[in-house]
Amino acid sequence: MTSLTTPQSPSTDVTPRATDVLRPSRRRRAALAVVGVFNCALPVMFTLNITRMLATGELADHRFHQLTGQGEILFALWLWPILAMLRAGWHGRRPGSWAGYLHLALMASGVVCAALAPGGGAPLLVGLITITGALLWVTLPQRPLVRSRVGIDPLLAPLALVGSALLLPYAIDQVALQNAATTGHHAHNPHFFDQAWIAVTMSVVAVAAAAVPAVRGLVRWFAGSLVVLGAAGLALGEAALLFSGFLALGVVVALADVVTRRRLAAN
Amino acid sequence: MPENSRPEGGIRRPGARPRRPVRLGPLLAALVGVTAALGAVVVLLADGTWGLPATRQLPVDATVGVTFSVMAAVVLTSRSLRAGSRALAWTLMTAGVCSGAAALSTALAAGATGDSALAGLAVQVQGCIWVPGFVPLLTLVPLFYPDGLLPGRTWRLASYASVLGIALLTVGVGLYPEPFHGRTTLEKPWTDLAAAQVLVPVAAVLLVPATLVAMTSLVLRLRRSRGLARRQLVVLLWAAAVLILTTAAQGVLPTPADVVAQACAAGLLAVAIGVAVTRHGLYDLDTAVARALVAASLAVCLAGAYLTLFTLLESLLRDRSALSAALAAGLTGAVIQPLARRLRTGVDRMYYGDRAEPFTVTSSLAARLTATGLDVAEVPQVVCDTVVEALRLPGARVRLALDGGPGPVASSGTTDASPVATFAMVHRGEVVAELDVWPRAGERVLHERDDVVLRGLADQVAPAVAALRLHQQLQRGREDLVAARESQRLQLRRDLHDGLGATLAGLRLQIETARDLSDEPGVTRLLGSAGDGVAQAVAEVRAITDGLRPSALDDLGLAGALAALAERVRAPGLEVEVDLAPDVTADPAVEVALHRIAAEALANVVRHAGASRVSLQVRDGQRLVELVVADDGAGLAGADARSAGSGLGLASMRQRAEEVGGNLEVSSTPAGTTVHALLPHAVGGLR
Repeated sequence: MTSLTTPQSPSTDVTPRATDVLRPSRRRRAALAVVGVFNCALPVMFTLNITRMLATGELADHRFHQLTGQGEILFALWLWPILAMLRAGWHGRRPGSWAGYLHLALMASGVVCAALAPGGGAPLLVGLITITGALLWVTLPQRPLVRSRVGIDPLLAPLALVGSALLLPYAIDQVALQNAATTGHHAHNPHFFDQAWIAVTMSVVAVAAAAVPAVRGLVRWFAGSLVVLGAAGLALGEAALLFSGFLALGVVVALADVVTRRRLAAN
Repeated sequence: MPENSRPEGGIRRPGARPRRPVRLGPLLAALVGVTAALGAVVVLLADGTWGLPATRQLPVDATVGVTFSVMAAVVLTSRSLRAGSRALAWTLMTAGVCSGAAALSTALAAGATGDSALAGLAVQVQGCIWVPGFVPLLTLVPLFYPDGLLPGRTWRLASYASVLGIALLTVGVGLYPEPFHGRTTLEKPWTDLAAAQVLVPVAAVLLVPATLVAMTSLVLRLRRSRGLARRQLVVLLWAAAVLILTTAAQGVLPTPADVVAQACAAGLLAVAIGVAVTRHGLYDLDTAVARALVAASLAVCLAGAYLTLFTLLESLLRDRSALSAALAAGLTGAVIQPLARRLRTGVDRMYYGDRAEPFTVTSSLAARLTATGLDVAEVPQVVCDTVVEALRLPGARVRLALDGGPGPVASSGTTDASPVATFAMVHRGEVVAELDVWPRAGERVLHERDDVVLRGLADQVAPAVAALRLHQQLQRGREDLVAARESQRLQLRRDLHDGLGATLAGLRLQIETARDLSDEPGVTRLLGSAGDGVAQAVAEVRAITDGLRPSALDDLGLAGALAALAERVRAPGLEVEVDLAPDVTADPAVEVALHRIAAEALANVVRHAGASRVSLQVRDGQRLVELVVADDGAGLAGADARSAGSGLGLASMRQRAEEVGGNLEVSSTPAGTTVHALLPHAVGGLR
């Protein structure tokens, strides 16, 4: 049998591949461990504390915020990409683009919201998150690929933009409420800033998922967050129309994601 | 343009629609249905009886009257209509005409101000005519949809029961003494309660099972169908689902939205059936859906983007709404064109894979072709897989242009029907192969983009396929040479054996006789010497003939020769099992190859394997002969440790198999070695 031989052209592709593994040195791992502690300490502490409050019923009048912006949704959007990047970095792998996009979206949204609602200790919190987050990106042996091909999904793009049209007015409303009710310390404020923060983050994540094929999976974070936000709002007596809209949109986005994936799998 | 989609002279393109013939009967029948339905609306408007409860469903009846009549006429005048579909179309026509009649009679009865012959007739008709207008949609249409043929002969009973049940129910409800409440309450002129009480239950006994059977037939068809037939069923089911939903929402929707929705759904059902039965629209359905998806996606995207921008700008500009709206509109307008283009690309990819991006497809193919270790023989398969995966076409096939005509060498997906297009792979001005592709469900011809991509793929792989073709031509030439060589050897052996060998044997006999008769010692010595020389020549001829071809093959046949080989290695401590197909035959070259391979494999077992058991199997297949020699020895690794071998034996066996167009595999474990050869019955031009 004859083998097909093709002349090898000089490689001009200098893009690093996502599958490359660079085994980190001990010093790198030590730095990752220290930066990981800095990054995870706050969200882990908050997660445990808020979850405890939810379980015990403490500060029951804050339950909606505990389930969403102050608590579980924020922590999911905050802690999960950090853990994914730390794990990949520890093993010398390149973290997934989704983790990079989610982390950047959270930090950028936090900066914008803190600039719009500077009271209640928000700038301090966001500054801390941004600095530790930047340290994490510096410490990683390979950073997530954020420059990706744009390919708009015709099903998810309209849903993402409808989501942003619903979430951004809500975020602006929450920023206004926060500015009207600043208490001085983040832990003591009424958490409207947190609500605005997750709303803006979700909008950015949705648009990114609809526009960038490499992070299409983020649409599940968007759908999940919307469903939790909508269900929590409806269950805990928030504005019924808006939160039923969030819930319905979350379900539709989840269905669209299923349809898209099934179509891809079928083909 | 693909070869078989190219218009030639006056020949109609395969995808072109046939001219619609004019048939008077269906047109007149449809005219009756449409006139009755529209007449009902006119009467209703003229009498001002819209608000009466009796006329509440009249728009639905009128819509069914118009749409079913028109679609039935469209179906009946379609040239591509199959014979079976005619019955289905007339069923639709009956439903349409009866619904139109029901609407008209209801409108007349509702507007009547007192007893009259016309009013009585209208009440009588409206009380029963809805039955043949509605019930066939539950029984006969599902039974005969979409090709007018029943799923089986026994299903006729359901159709007979349905027709009889409809007739009995029509008469039964017509005779039932039920007053009609229009402007005035009117009684039917002809009633018979006793007859109605008999006919209606009998009709129900016939129609209920018939309906269940009809629905079952639809489910069965859906499960069994593929491709276009399945699409026809899915179209009907979607339309039926919409009708069921609107019917279920009658108590929820406000009036007249509920009636309008139901009328639209009923009309949609007729259109769906008509489109599916004539099948014309199905071919464009994907295109229509794709365009609608782009439009809807773009509209929602623009609305979402506008609202998002407006919200942000209004917040930033501190409630200056007019300016915010203008800026948001301007910014949104600026992204319309690029957004539309990207959405169109996205939808295109969703439906048709990467055909919008030929570079992606060719890059994908190039990446596969340059994969390490890819054999040139696998190139056609890679091409087929790439076409099916990247373009989401249902099937692709590559046929290599050889002397005996193009032969399929690779295929992927479904390739059971006729291909829609063929692309020639041309290398140095010569067609080396052809790429056949099959259309997507609902497509008759390939889209221009598919055409461009496939043409590029064909050009890209043509050199590699040419190499494969050359390789196959070389292999075929080699097989021809081997076949000719073995044939010549066989002939030479026979000539030597039957000619020279026999002559020398006779000469030797004569010399020996002469030596026995001679009294002269000198002559006797000379004749003895000559006899020895002739005997040596006979031995040499025998050696030569054995070298040309194993003599056992001619003496014992293939099976006997192989059995003799096995018998020869039998020894204490080595059990030999023989399982040979008794009548196995093959070309001389193949017989020699089988014999030599078996001899070499058995010799290897004896020399190297240290086995206690060896089996020799020969199976005679339809096109191939299979030879298996298996032992329970130490395996190749163990054999190498026991006795140093050069590996020439295995290479020789493999070469003998390949030169007759077969192949040989050797598998070895510490528990033994198996030599497995598959050889064709005939080689080269004899194949």
